[in-house]
Amino acid sequence: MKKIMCITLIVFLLPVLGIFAGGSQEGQSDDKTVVNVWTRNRHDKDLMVRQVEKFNQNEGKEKGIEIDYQIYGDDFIDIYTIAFESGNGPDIMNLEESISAGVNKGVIQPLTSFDNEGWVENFPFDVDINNVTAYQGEVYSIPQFAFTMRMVYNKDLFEAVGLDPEKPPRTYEDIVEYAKVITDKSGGKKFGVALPFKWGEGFWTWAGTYTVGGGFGRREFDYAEGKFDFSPLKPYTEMIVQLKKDKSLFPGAEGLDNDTARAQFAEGNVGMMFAVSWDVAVFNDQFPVKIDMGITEVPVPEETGFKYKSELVSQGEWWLGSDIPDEKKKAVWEVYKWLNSDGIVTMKYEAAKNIPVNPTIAKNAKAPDVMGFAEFSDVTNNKVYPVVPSVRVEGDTFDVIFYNAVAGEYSVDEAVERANKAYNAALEQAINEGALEISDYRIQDYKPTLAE
Amino acid sequence: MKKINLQKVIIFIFLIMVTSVFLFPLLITFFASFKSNMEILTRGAQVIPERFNYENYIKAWNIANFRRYTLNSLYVTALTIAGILVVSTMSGYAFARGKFLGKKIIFSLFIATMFLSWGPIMIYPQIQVARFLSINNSLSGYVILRVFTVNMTMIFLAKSYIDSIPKSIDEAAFMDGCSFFRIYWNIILPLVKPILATICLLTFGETWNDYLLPLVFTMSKPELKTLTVAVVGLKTSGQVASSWNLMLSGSMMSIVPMVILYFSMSKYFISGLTKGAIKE
Amino acid sequence: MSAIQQYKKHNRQAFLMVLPSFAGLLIFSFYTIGYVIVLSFTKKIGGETVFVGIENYIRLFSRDPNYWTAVVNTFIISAKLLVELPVALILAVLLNSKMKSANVFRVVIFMPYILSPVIIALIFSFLFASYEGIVNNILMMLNISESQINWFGTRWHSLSVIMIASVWQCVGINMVFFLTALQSIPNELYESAAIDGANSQQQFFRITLPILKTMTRVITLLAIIGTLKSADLALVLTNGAPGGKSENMMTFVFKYFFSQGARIPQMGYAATAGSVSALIIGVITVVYLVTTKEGNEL
Repeated sequence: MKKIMCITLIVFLLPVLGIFAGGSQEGQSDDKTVVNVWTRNRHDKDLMVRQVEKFNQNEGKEKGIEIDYQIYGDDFIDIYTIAFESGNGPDIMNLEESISAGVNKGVIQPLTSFDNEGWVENFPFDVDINNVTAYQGEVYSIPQFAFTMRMVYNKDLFEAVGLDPEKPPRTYEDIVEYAKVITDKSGGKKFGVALPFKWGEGFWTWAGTYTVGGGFGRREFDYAEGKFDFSPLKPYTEMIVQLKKDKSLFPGAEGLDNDTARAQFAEGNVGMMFAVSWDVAVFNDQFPVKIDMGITEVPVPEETGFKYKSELVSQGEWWLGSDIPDEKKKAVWEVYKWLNSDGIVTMKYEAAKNIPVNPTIAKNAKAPDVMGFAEFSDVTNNKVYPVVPSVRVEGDTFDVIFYNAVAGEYSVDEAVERANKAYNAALEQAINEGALEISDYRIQDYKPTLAE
Repeated sequence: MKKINLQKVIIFIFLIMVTSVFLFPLLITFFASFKSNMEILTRGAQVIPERFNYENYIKAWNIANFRRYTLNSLYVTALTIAGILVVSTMSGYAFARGKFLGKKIIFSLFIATMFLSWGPIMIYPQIQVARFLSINNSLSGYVILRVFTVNMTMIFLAKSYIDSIPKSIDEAAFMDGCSFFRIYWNIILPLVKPILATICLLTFGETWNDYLLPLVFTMSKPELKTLTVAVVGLKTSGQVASSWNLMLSGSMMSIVPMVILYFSMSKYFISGLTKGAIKE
Repeated sequence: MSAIQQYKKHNRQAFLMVLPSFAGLLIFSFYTIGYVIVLSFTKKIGGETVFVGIENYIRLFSRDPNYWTAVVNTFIISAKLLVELPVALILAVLLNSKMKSANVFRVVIFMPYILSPVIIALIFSFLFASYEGIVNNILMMLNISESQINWFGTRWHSLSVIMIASVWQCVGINMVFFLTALQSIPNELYESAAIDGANSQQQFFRITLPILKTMTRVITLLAIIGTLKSADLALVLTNGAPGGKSENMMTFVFKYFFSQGARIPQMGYAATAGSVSALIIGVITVVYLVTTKEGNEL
């Protein structure tokens, strides 16, 4: 009996000993309030880490605040969701999903719940974008930056195969044509277009639905009707089908992820590729391009031409976590203001990390001299589109549906039909359940802005 | 004599072939850890890197703060192994040799947990329980969770192995006046060294490579991170694209303790002569 | 002490020895499993979790062919055990010796098991890449194939890559299990058999295999369950490519539980899929135990 008691005691004591060991590593911050800031921004890491340190050494020391700046990766949503579930959510963070999802999950709280002395109202531009930064009348976040989509191409490769490097593709038909030439003339070593299908939904949005605006003025949601309509995606998908038939796609497209695609482009093995403004940092620092990179507007279908201003994707940047204890509120608000301050935003712009939404920033700052940034940040022909409702779809999401059309399982027309059916059914269900108000999204007299 | 040698030679050649097939991807991993990030992604086919970037290892070591996190991992793993060894072999022995009320029911329940795994979903309720017990903020909470969750694999292994030990050994010890527990502690345990080694190894593998749970338990105190959490974090330490080169070198370094452990455990896998005890 | 008192004392001690795991079962497993089962009957509408009865189950059984494709895939993938287990056994027998060289072999074969699945996925994506992939190059050199095979392009190719990677990863640990089992066979048996004139093949088939039967059943059961439950490797290797066709049961659950990109997680539905999957695994386990008569051993 004694032995059993001994053993049981030891087994139960182990964790106690452990608590001591774990506990001894506690007790860092004495009278400083630690504000946890979680971000998924990796492209401005060096800059922000330096700034955070500066803050902690100067302002932070004065005010007794210390910022703990943590950077996360692809699974950021899951991480902060789990964190909030376990009571360990951050104080300030980026929101990787739609605002309604964030509010419903209970991970964010409105800015107005803080005593902000009119700071929100005094912004020089409209921060109250319904269903993007504001939800049900409350502002949750300040939009700082926008993303633009472009097509990048390999000028050297164009020249090598006899294409004019100063005449980038302007239509989908151009892409198909040029891609064929490039692939045929490169003997299996270089290819026309690299499409990273493994990126999945990322690919079909950032390189897909977000890019069709130039020809159609909208994405997959018909604002006037208040219904989903994926027909703008049809010419785009048909182009991909043709590229596949011509074999001018970079091989292994199904298993190609965005990193590898970009690396291959930088290496010079790819003729053309879709890119987002964050790729400026990638092609300068991470995978420095070994070739002469050209940038152009994302091509449109021949039949529509460049009618409208294409999309400018803008979201709120910093959001307040829902779990902030009262003692911390003042400190957290200070940090929040600091993160949104003109100083920080300007720094990010001047380092060519982001395209600011606030027009005064660009006016007062020094335009950065980084390869490619000028083209990506020229927003004369870009505009923020009204928000599209996010719905819970049964079965395949549209990226899978359209991918299957590319794979030849069914025609592109059928893909459009299926996607419309699935998404509109989900939309109806959401409306019926009261999760969504169609009036928030429907714009009966929607007129997309014409291109200049 | 000649015939036996030929057989041995054939076996040896077979082993070399099999091992080479196994070694091949490992070698690729090893060499790839010296490549630059871009080279990894574009020239995957070339085994030998263009340039041996030793700084991958240095960077990984620093960024992932290897010294501290390795200690964390060792601490957590050691405690978990100790706990699971004791708890699992105790249960295995009790099921193999004991008779008590509800044994069959409890055993069936245990077996049920083996295949009733809902995968990642279980994380949420597990966190809730940990929160309820106020242990969700430290590594020791993780240890408790692991030790006290039914590790049916280990229990099953222990039970099956003990089943194959002749009951006469038990009876002999009983005649000498040992209680049920003492038979376990003094007689059986030394006899099941291979199982102990196996459980040790299995638990080490599971715990050392565990990513999600340790991440959750150390979210609020990043200094308590385990090595695997830090190494996976290396992937995202790059700017926009992932830093595969750092993650590879980090992973290479984190394998080392496991290999050392395996080498030192291997003599327990070949104990062999234990069954002679009965004749004494 | 009287016999009855001894008996009672034994029982008490045995029960106490099971207590830690049993307590853990009640606290951790029961609550966890209960939570997930309850979750499978719910749906999130607007931020509220609402009880919807068997709606999720109906959806799973009648409107979701993707799930059943995933189930079939899971079974297909588990066929890899037909290769993995015999190889592991043979290796264990061959390497069951104290020689230093045997130790080196054992370590190399075991090493893949301790690599993280993310690394394994990266390596295998090089090996099986379409553009200058190593395997393709070898196949073409040996004239087995004429053109570059697109390993992630079709369902069967993707599944094959998953199976190969999985075998590579798991042979080592199964070999260790078998090695352990082999230790329970006393050397004297082999010695006396050798004296009686049996060669190594006869020794293997007449001594080793029969005695290993019990442990082999356990090892096989663990391997089957482990394979059915696995998600990690498939998730990072193919992520369902192409187009969700190489999903297995657990990656399916994972997909609906965690958001990937801007997809809204559907936790209730994920719990439903998880419950049905657990049930399937349970049925298989019971069938296996019954057909190998393990249940009688209690």
